[in-house]
Amino acid sequence: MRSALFIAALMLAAPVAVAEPQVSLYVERQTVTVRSPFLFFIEVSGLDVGDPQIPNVEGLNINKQAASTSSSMQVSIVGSRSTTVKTQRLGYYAQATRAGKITIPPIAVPIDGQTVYTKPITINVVDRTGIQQPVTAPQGTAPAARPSTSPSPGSQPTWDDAAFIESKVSRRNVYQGEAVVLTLSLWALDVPGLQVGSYRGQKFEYPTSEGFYATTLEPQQTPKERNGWSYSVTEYCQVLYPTVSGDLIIGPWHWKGVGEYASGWRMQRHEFALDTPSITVTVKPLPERPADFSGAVGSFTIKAKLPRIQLIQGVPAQFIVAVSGTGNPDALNAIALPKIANAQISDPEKDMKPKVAGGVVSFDKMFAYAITPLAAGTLEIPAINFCYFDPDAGAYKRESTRPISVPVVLSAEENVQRIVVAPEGLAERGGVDVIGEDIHPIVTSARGLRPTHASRATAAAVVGMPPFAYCGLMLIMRRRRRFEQDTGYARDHLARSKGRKRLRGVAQSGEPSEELYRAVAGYIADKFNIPEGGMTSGDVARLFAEHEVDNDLAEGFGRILKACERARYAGANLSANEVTALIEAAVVAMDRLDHQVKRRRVG
Amino acid sequence: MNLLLAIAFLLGADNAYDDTFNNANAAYNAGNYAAAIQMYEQIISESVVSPAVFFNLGNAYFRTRRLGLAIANYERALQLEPGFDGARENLANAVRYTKNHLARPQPADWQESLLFWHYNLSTRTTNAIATALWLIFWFALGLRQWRPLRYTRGVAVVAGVLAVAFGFSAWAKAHPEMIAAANANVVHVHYGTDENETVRFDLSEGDRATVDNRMNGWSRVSTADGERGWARDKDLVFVGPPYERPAEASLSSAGESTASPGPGASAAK
Repeated sequence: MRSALFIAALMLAAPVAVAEPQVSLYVERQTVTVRSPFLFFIEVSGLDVGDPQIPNVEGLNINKQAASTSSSMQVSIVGSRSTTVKTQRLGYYAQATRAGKITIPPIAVPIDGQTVYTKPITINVVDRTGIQQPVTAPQGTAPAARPSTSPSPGSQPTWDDAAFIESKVSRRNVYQGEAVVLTLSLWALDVPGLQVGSYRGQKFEYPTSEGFYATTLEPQQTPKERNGWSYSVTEYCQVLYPTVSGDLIIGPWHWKGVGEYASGWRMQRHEFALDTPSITVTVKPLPERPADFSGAVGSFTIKAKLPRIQLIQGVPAQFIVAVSGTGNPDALNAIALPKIANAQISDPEKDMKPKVAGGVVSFDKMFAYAITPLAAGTLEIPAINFCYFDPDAGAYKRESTRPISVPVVLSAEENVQRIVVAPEGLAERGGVDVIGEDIHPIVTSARGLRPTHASRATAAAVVGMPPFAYCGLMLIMRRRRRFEQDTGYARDHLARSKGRKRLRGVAQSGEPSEELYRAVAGYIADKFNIPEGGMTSGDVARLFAEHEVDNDLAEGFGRILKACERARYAGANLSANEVTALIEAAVVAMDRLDHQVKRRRVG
Repeated sequence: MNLLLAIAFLLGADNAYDDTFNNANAAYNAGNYAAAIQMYEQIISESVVSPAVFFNLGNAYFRTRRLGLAIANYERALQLEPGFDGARENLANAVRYTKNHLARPQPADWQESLLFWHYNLSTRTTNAIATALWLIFWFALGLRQWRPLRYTRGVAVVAGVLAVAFGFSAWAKAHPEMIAAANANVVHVHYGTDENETVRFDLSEGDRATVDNRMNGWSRVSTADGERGWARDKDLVFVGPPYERPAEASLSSAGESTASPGPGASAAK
């Protein structure tokens, strides 16, 4: 509150001046479609602003009632003088009635008692009937990477105009290690309702550049004009450093994308598959390299800096060597310092700041050394030479720093941290000893030292066995369930063992013919899943005929059963030998029937 | 020797490796590091993979001033047993003696946070958990076949999912990202696979780097500070697996270095 009052008082006290009246006219977009409303603005600076006198423009319907207004006031006080600038922005709706170029003439605006005029402005109007399908470039195989014709004002863009790509290099004839900037440009037409872009989630792929060391820069997006159309141009840049000499090929750039154009309720869609031709870059080998060549190719300067005017013996100080220029910063190794008497120099810490401007990559690479004077007196740092290859000159060049001389004093304070080193320095660090207790001792017991192939076999068995066991269990359980649920299957399956068991009891039975008959009839009943009781040899013969059992087998069973029937009903008792023979015949017949039934199932 | 060890193992004399291990330990304690190294390497060449053997071998190399080999063997021990504090501390100690103190290339933070169980469990534990879950999964399925109990399906699903996760973890542990340590005083890292290519940067003995490509005796290495280039295989020791035995030449002298920096012989005192 206090400060507000102070400013108000200051304003009242200071002589007031008003800024010169100014007016400007601009549109929200340079390209508009027919019968599609757009806004244009008049921005006025002045204290007393009247209504702008909007003229009638051929091809343009303008709503002369301002659709939007906004204002701001800026007060600046310099010394005892204050200046007030009031800015007002008025927005007007307009609608083009025809395609082509339409110019809004200067608009008169009364400001502070005088009339000020805007500058005329021209807008490009396109028809909203839609983007025409290309005639020459069928979908997906657009061979032309750029539109070939220059459209006349108001003509309709085709899908060929909607997007195209270009690839170019900064130089085609370079030396090995010299930077080549590869620029890939994606031109997307900037008209209302049109969207052009890559497929969702598609990864941008740079062309192949075998033989180059590549550094990728951040993509840039800029508006550009071509053939009378406004484009949004996305530039993907790579800086390529050839690592070998000869003709190196930068492969074609393939770009796939999609364009969507909303026209009223209709949405047009077009798929792009564009290619650029490959580019050949001729790389010349570097001339014979001098012994002190640093490996840098480009244009460089070198500076050395010791930020202190006095050093203390045994106390390290920072010594900076900075290399600036253009070229491949990664190829630049630490600068080899000349021998400095009575000083210990550490390995440098590196710091790099790359810059990209106008397609040229430049950098500042700093090497910070810790330099420790070992003796009081004067420390002389000789000139540091830096040899690089200048591709513009086609020759090796040398840059040198100026020698530095700095006094070294003994420390007056006892608590200064001293680094005591031998005069020879620490270059041979093999001399540094390690105390015996500095590491954990060895492990004296290792459980289960086994070759991995043994444990691998065990692991394979452990991993592989359960699925097999599970399959086995599944089969067993299926069979068990079938036994429980399918009586016919269970009777059929158990018929032979059950029949044999019964046959074994025949000889010991008091009525062997009766028992034998039951065993054989029971077996047949089980085998064909029919009721056992009351079955005669005639029933069995019919049953066998139905199931197409071999005649001789059917006859064999018939003979056994008839022999038993005779003994039971005609009183012809069987002798022990006859019983044994019939049992054996029954066993053979059962085996044969089982075999036959199985064979039929398999068949 | 190999045959004897193999026969001894097959006959059930499972202490053959233990005997060699104990002899190597005795040689180490007596200050005979070369013999100890020979025996530890012998055990490893028999496909015995044990964090204890790698750790002891790392110590033996450390005592003989071969930082690259020491660091690689500590890395191997930690790869198998991430909770091996002794190996971790000895590794940190060995790295202190390297020239650049270069950090080990690490996985992304999110990866380490999300897969903490993968990074913190030893290979043996992971394998055991994966196997147990696998068996539980099949047992639950089998039980369900035998008698459909109430929770068997849930148990099978949970065990199956976890078995896949731990199985993947076990597989990843068996096929880790290849790490290599510089095994020479100075290892030149070039732009390409040619001695005449410009040297991009240098690795000092013991510096670790990720290896993502190997061809014609060269490896493409990336360091934790983002440097990348090609170095000769013979100047590197690969953490593995597979656990490659260093060449005899490098056993006697580490690449270009005749006296590598760092740990000294006074340890034997």
